[in-house]
Formats: sequence, structure tokens, C-alpha cells
Amino acid sequence: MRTQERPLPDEAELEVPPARVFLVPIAPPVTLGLFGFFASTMIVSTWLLGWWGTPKGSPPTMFEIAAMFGGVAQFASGLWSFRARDYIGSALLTMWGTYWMAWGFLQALAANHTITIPPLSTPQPGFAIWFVPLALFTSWGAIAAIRENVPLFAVLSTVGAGSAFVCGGFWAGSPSWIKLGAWLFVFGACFAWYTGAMVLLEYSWGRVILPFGVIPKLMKLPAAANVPGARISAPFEYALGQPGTRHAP
Amino acid sequence: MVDTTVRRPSRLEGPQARIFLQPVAAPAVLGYFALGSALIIWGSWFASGWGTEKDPSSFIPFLLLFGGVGQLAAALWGYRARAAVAAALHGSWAAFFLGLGLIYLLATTHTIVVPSRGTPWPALGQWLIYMSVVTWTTAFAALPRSPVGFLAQGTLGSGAAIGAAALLLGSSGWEEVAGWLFVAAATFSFYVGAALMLDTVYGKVALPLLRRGAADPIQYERGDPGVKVGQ
Repeated sequence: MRTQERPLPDEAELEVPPARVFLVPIAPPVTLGLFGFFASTMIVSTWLLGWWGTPKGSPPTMFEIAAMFGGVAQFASGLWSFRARDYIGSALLTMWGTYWMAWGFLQALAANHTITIPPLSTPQPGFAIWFVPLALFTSWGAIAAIRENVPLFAVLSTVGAGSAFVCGGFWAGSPSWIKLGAWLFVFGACFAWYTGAMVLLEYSWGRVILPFGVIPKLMKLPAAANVPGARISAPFEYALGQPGTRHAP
Repeated sequence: MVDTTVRRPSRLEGPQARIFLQPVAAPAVLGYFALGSALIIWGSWFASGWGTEKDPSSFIPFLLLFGGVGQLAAALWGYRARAAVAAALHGSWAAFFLGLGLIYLLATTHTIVVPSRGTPWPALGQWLIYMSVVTWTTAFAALPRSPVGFLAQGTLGSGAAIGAAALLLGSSGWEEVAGWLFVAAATFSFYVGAALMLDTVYGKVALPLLRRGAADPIQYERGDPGVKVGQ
């Protein structure tokens, strides 16, 4: 049987369905991610610096919360950063989240006596190599953050540099280099808390509480973001609506 | 649902953009209930209010799944609900209870050894320092919109700070104080969760939260769930 060929329609005559761009507001995901990074980085870095605990006695009850807070929670906030259209957050929070989960996995293997983690003075190239990509993508993030605000740049630049020192320290088995990197991580963690709190408080109070550290003309936000009390956002809200239509508690 | 047409910043012609506000149930209800449930169990045990050193092996699953997974679900829905405090608070404490549950799970399987109550536990003490810092930050953020939420979080932050000192010093007396503060925080958490739920269900302020305004959600009452409030 011969089928009847249908004539090709003229493309210009086709009716094109109208396209709409939907912009859906969400709460800033970066806060939870940076809080997870802050807490996990502080606890491990201060332990490396010998501020508390013992070299062998502490990690077995330390890694679990790090794997969850620095790992799972930070990873989840990184995934939500895609919805926030945040290139730095979606890439870096997710990557650092996977790092903390991987570190927790390593410590779990050690706790189970499947592997042995040597002391800091022993070269560990297999662990040092982790920090090569971490230093690289964190430093690229720092360059991108130059357009955002000084606190975020401070987080990423100190953590990127710290990763490089920690990499060298573990590679060479040099506790001094590891401790130098750990100091940079402590500063990076404090900047991470500041950045997370800065975003959270501005969102919740509807005005700047902690200054954003904006360099005018270089960064995207207006200079008013440096002035506590200034309003720099005007969210769309239906004040009597349910969560989602307004800022919620 | 409210949508607002947005001007394109570019001169180029393109598809029209709209802002869509999609209402969801308040995730803070689940979050506060899950937080309160985990705190009331762990806090009262931590305060030596009941039980023995072996009891964590019985309440591990509850800590892991309700305090951990339940709160994490609430935190992630907090982003859609535009609830920055709920996302940060419940996400942080979800991670804490997931981690604490794992610690007790590994101790139950004799993989690790956990210090008993009243003896120093520096690692958990250190964690509670940072949980206190994070919780006081979210409490301050909650202050303008949810004074009772501030009370719950402030109590929790204080409990975490005192718990940190207790675990670093190995003081059973301070552990008791911290544990009962966790129970007090749990009570406030249940109150906030219940108030948020009853406000919407009854359509009026049932339990005061000391905030301005009552909810008047947009809905088509004969529609499907999502279009109307509830099922």
C-alpha cells in the first residue's frame, strides 16, 4: 500500500508556543553550607594545631559529625545553589561537601582498622594529592569572588592557599607546613562563618546587619551594602501568605 | 499564587520573565518537632535524668532518622519556603544528630569507644562550641520575625555552650544543666511547631508567637491539594 505523503509545512507558518522564564525565589542556600564548612574546618584544623585532643584519641568520635555537617549538609546546600543561580556556591559548596564526606569515609575505614592513618610526620602522597584539585578549584572560586564581596573572597583565597600548604605538608611529611595550612583554614573558617551570617542576617532582618565588604565599581553590590541598616533588597512578598509567598520563619 | 511581571534588564527582545511565588506548608513545623523530639530524648538522657550508658544503642535509630533525616528534609524544604533560618538551623542540627547517631552506632558495634557521662569527651565538646555559635547566629536572625523561635534557639544555643564546657571539663553537674536546657529548648520547639501548625489549620492565632499579622493564604477551596490549603 502506498502512503500518501504529507506536504512539509512552511516553518514560518507554524505557531510557536510562547516561552516564559519563571523566576522562583528561595532562601539563600549558602548559609547552611558555609556554617557546615566553618564548623568542620574549625574542629579539624584546631585539632591539627594541637589546641585540643590527642593525635590518635580524637578522630574516632570527631569525623562523624564532620562528614554530616561539612559533608551532607554542605553538599545539599550546594545542590540548592543551582536553584539560586549561584555559580560559585553550586560548584564549591558541592565539591567541599564531597570532600568532607570522603574524609569521613577515610576516617571510618581507619576506625574499623581497615586502613592505618600514619602520623603527620610521615609522607602521605595518597592523601596529599586530594588537596591539588581542592586548591585549584577553590582558587578559581576566589578569582570569581572578586566580583562578589570581600568576605567571600577572603574565605576562598585563604582556604585555597591553605589547601596548597596542606598538600605540600602531607606530601613531604612536614608537620610545620600542615600547621601553616591549618592556620589558614582557621582564618578561612572564621570568614566562612562571617559570610554565612552576613547573608542570613540581611535576608532575615531585611537590611544590612554585618557589612558586605563591597569595593564599589569592582563588585556587583552597591556601596550601601557596607552600611549597617541599609536596605539592599526588595523581595516580592504576599505578607499574609503561606511560606513560599513570603519570607518565612 | 502571585506572579509579577519583571522588566528585562537587557535591550534584547526575549521571552517575558515572571516571578512565581509558590506557597508550601511551613517546613519549620516538621523541623521544630523533629528537633524537639531528638532534644527531649538525648537531652534528658545526657542530664542523667534516666537510663544507663547502654541506652544510646536503643535510641540511635530515632536520633538518626527523626532528629537527622526528618530535620534535614525540613531544612531542604526550607529553601522553597524562603525560610532561611529554618534551613540553617534545622540543617545544622540535622547534621549534628546524624553524626551523633553514627557515633553511637559505631560504639554499639564496638568499632569505637565513647566516653561515659561525667567524663571528658573533648571531640563532642568541641562540636558543641560550634553548634552554639551557629545556633546563636540563627537565633539572632530569627529575632525580628519569630521572638518565640529566638527563645527556643537561644535556649538551645545556651545548652550547647554549657554542654561544651561540661564535656571539655568532664563535669557531670554542668552536663545536667546542659541536658535540662536541651529539654527546655525542646519544649519551646514543640510550642513553635504547634503554633505554626495550628495558626494555619484554624485560620487564626491559636497559640501566640508574638509576631504581627495572621495568615490569609490564597486558595481555591474546591481545588486539588496545592491549589487549596491541605488535602
